[in-house]
Amino acid sequence: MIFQVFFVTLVVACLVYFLVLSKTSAFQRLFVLFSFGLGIICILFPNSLNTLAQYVGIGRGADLILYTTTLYLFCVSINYYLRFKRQEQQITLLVRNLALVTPKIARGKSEESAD
Amino acid sequence: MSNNKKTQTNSNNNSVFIVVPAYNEGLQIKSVLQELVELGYSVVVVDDCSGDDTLAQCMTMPVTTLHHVINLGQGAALQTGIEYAKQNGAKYMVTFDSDGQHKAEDIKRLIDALEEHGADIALGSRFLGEAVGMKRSRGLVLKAAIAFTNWATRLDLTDTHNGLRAFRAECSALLRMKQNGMAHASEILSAIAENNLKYIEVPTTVTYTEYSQNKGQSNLGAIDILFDLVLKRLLP
Repeated sequence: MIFQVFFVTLVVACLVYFLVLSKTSAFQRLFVLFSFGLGIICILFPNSLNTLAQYVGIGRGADLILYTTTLYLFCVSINYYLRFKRQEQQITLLVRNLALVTPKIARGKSEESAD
Repeated sequence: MSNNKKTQTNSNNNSVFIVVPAYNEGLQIKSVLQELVELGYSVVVVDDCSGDDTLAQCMTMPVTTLHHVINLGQGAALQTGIEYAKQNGAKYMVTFDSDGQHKAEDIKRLIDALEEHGADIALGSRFLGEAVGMKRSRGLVLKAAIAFTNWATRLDLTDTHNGLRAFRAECSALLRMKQNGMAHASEILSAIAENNLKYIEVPTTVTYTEYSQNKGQSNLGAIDILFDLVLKRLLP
């Protein structure tokens, strides 16, 4: 029982924190609400997860969690990789345009006088 | 290269823009730029946020100096210089390394080759020309990189990673480099292959000095080339 109380509190705290502080789209908020709700159900009724795992052909509920988490983290890192690449391109353009609008041309001596 | 020697005057060389990417080249950069200026070329040097006095050195020379406020890499620096050249009426663009490994006189051979053969891009080749002071190990690594690059791009080149190249300004949009780092060399070759650009190789000289060897890429760069060419097809 201690485990359930502790984890549900933690999950609800995270959810409130996310919903209040992050400026995400309605779709993302609903998705988060849904997955957190699912998480709370799994914490309160551990056996439901086992049933689900057996239904989809995986032995234990813990394994199901492991697999979905791995998949989820993989998606997150691809998402961040693409975002990082895009940002890198934006920074490059920014720095390039800054360089192009401020050319430093020193014409102290004419080209012919160079010996 | 050419038997009908063209008399190129300084005003002719004006429309040839030499793009020199520079990163921490304070010791050498002035003499490299001096040679180019003396031949009457329009010189654009891009200081890629060097930690030394490269920028100050460049600003004492009669060249255009562009400054990156953060360090982006050689490919990004080249692209910045190319864009400046395009905006300022370049007819030909030449990429030229800032560590003194190239010979300024070779530029004329590249431009002549472009004009005589109607090519879009002329690539310098140290294996058709000369590689002064090149270590045996470097030669072997380069040969392996060349074989692999030719296979991956389906081009037929004797030197694939030479910093000295010349191309027509009209082609610069097709050759646009998105890779900020050293992968741009492979990227240019891929662009040549994809767009069916007419290319020609010209014998040029690369001189390996102690300075350029310390500054330059290690042999491990060959592994980067391998990954660049393979991963380019897999990742955006």
